[in-house]
Amino acid sequence: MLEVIDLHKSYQGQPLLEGVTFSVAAGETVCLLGASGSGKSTLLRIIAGLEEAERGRLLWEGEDLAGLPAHRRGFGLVFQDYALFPHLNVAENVAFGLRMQNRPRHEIEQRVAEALAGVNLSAFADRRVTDLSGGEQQRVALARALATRPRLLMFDEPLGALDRTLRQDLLDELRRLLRGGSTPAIYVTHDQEEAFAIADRLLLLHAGRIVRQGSPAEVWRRPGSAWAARFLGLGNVLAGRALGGARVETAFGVLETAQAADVPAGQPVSLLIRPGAARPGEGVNPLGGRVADLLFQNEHYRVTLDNGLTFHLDEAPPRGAFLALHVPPEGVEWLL
Amino acid sequence: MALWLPASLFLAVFFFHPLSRILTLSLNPAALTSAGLERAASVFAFTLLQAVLSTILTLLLGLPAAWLFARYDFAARPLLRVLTAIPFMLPTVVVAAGFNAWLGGRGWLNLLLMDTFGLETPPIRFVGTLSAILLAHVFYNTTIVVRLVGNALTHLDPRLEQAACTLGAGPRRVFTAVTLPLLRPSLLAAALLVFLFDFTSFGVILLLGGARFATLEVEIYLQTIQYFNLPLAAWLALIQLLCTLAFSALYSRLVTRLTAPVGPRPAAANLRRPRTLRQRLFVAALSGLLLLLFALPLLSLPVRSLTRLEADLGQRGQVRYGLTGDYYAELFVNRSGSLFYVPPFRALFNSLAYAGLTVILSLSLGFPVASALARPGRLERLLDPLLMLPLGASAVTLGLGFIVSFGRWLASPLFVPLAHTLIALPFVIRSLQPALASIPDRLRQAAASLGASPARVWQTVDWPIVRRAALAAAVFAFTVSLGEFGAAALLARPEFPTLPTAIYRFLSQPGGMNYGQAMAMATLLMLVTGAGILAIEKLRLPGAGEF
Repeated sequence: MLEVIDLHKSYQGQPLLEGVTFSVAAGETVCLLGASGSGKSTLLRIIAGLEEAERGRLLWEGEDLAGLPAHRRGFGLVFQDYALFPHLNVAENVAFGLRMQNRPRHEIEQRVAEALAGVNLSAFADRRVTDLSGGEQQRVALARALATRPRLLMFDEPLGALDRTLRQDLLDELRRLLRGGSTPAIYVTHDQEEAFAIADRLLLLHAGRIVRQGSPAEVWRRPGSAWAARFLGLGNVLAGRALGGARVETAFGVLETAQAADVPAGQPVSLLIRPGAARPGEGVNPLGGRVADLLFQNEHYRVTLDNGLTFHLDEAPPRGAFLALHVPPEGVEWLL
Repeated sequence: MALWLPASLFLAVFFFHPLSRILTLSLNPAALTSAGLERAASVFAFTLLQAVLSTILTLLLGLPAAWLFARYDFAARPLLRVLTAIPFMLPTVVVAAGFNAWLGGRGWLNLLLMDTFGLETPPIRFVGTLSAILLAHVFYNTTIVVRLVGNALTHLDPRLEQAACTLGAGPRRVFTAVTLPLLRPSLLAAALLVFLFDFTSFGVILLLGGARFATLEVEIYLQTIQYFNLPLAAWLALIQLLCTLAFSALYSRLVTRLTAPVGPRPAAANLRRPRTLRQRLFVAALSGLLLLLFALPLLSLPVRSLTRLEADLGQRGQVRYGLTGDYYAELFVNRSGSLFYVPPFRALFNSLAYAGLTVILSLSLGFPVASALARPGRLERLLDPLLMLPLGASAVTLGLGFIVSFGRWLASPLFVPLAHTLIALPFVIRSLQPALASIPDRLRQAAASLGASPARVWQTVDWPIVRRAALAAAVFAFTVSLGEFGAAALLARPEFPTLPTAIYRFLSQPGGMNYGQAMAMATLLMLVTGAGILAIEKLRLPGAGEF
C-alpha cells in the first residue's frame, strides 16, 4: 500500500537517509530497527508529511504523496512522548481528530467511547491528561491516533519512556490491536526485543540505508552483515580473510565453516560465532582460552575468555583456568 | 524581628503615613464638588480609553513580533531582540525626547521636510496628539508581549502542533485549536501587564500629549501643582491605587496559573529559517518595521543633540544645518533669565547624588529584610505583601503623599531620594532574597564548625555569594532613581532640578537652544542609563526572573 522509494535527507549538512527503499503491505506491521540517531524518526516524519525529503518518492496505492500536506494524508502518528494536548482532557484529546473531520457530535461521542474502551480507559474520559501516568498517557495517545481510523499507523518509539514491566504489558496490548485490524503500521524503535515482538517484517536501518529486511526469524538466522550481528547482539563477530572454499583466516587461526561461500580468496570477510556454538574439549576450530570473567545468566554461565570471545556454558569453569573449547564448522557462520 | 525594624519604620513613616493622609483627605466630603466629580469621571474615562487603545495596538505589533522571534532564525534576530527590549528600561523623559527628536515640531523629520518643500510650518503634527501617546506606549511595552508570549511560544512543544496536523488539522485549525488555547494564559498576562503600565503612564503622556490629555496620573499632578486642589488629587490617587491593586492581583493570579503546565522544551527546536516566499516577506517586513520604530527614536536623540537644524528668525523655510556642540556647552552656563537658578549641568550632579543616596538607603533597608525573607516564617509570609505594596502606588501618588504629609519640610531636597527609595526598595528586596535563600544553612554551619565567628561567616560565606545580586540591586536602584520622573516632578525644588525634571522644563519652553539642551541632557541620561542596564545584564544571576 505504501511504497518508499530512494528517500534522501540530510541534517545539518550530514547525510541522514541515503536512499531508503521499502514497502508496507495491507495489514502488515513493519518494524524499523536502528540505533539512535540513525534517522528512523526523520523517516517517519517524512512519511507523515511533517518534513520533506530532499530526494525520493512516496507512493500510496500507486499515487504520489508529494504536495499532499500532513493534515490530508490520513496517517496516524503516535509520538515518542505522546504529545497530548495539555489544554484538553482525555476524551477531548481522543475526539480531536474527529472534530477536525467535522463529524457530527453523536458520532464523535460514540467513537471516542469505543476508542477509550479499546485501550481500557473508559473511566478516564474526563481526567486531565497531565494527571495521568506515563502508561495511561501512552494509551490515550494510541486511542487518539486510532479514533480517526487512519489509513496507516505510525509509532515513533512509543514505549521508550516507560519502565520495563509496563512496556511488556503495553507491547502485548499493541500487538493485539495491530494483529486484529487490517491497518498497516510502521513501528520505529531502537529496542530489538520490542522490534522482534511486534514486527511482521523487520527492517534494519544503518548509515542511512536499509541493510537487511525479512521476518524476525529470518533476520535472526541470517543477519547479513557484521554491523547487524553486532547491533542485534548475536554473538562473537570475527574479522578475517577468505582462503577460498569453506576456510577463513582469522586472528584465531584458520577456521573451518560448514559451507563453501562464493567469495574470492583474499577478500576480507566477517564471521559470526554464536555463544551457544562452543563445545568443550579439543576439536576442529579450537577457540579456548583462560577464563577472564564469569557471569550466571538465567540458565547458563556466560564465560568471557582472555582472547575476547564470549560463550554460554552449562557448567561454571574455574576462574583463571585454561578452558579447552572448539566450535564445530556448523557453528561458524558467514556474515554475507 | 530586629531585621524587619528599619524597613518597617521607614515604610510606616514614608509610605503608610502619607497613604493614610491621602485617604483622610479623599474621604472628606467637602472635597467632592460636582465639578470635581465630573472632572474625575472624564479623566478616568480617558485613562481607560487610552490604556485600552494602547494595549490593543501593542498586542497588534507584539504578537507578530513574538511569533517572529520565537519561530524564525534570521540574521538580524539578536540585534532586534535587544533593540525591542531597550525602551522598557529607559526613563520616560528620554523616550519622550527621542520621539520629539524624530517626529516633533523641531524634530529632524519635520525640519527636513520644511527645508525640502519650503514649508512655513512643520507638516507633521505629532507632539500633543493622541497618536503620540499611543505610539510611545507601543514603543515602551511591545517587549512585554514579546517576552511573555514569545517565551510561551518557544517553550511550546512543536510536536503538539505536529500531532494536530497528523490528526487532520490544517494550518489555521492548528492555530485556533492548539496554539492559541495554549498561549491564552500568557496572552492574557501580557495584555494585563501592558494595560497596567499604560493605565499608570505619566511621563509619556505629560511630555508627548500635553495637559490636554489628562489621565488620572497627569491629573493628580496638575491638581497638586497647578490648582492646589489636594482633596481632588487625593481622591484621584485613591481611584488609581485601587485600580492598580485590582489589576495587579488579577495578574498575579494569572502568573501562578501560567507556571503550572507543560515542561519546558529546548528553545532551538522551534526556530527555523524562513523558507517560503510568504515567510520571507513576513520576516523582512516585520523586521523592517521593528527596526524603524525602535531604532529611530533612540538614534534621533543623540543625533539631534549634536546637529544644528535651526532656521533664522523670520525665515522658517530656510534651515541652516551642521554639527554643533553648543547644546552641551550651554549646559555649563548659568544665564540670567534661564530656567534655573543654577547652571543646568548641576541637574546631572543632583541626579547622581540622589541616585547614590537611593542606593545606600534602599540597600541598607533591603538587606536585613531580604535575609529575613530568605528563611520565611509565618510573620514573614504575613508581612511580605505589605512590603510590596509601594509597587502598587504610582510615583506621582508617592509624591502627593509626601506633599500632604510633610508640607512643612518640603523645601529639603532629601525627599526626592526618599521617594526613590520607596520605589526601588521592593525590587532590591526581590533581587537580594533569592540569592540569600540560595545559601544552604549547612554552609554557614560548616564555616562555624571550622571556627568562623558570625561576622566571619557573613564575610566568607554570605557576601561572596550575594555580592553579584547586591551589585545588580544597587545598579538597579541607581538607574531607577536617575530616570524617575513622576515623584521628582512633584518634589524636586526648582533650585535642585534632577535630569528628568530639567529635560521636561527645557522641552516645555520655546526656543531652539532650550530644545537642543533638552536633547543633550536626554542623551546624557540615556547613556548613563544604558550603562546601568548593561551592568545589570552582566550581573544578573542566571535563571533569575525578569518581570
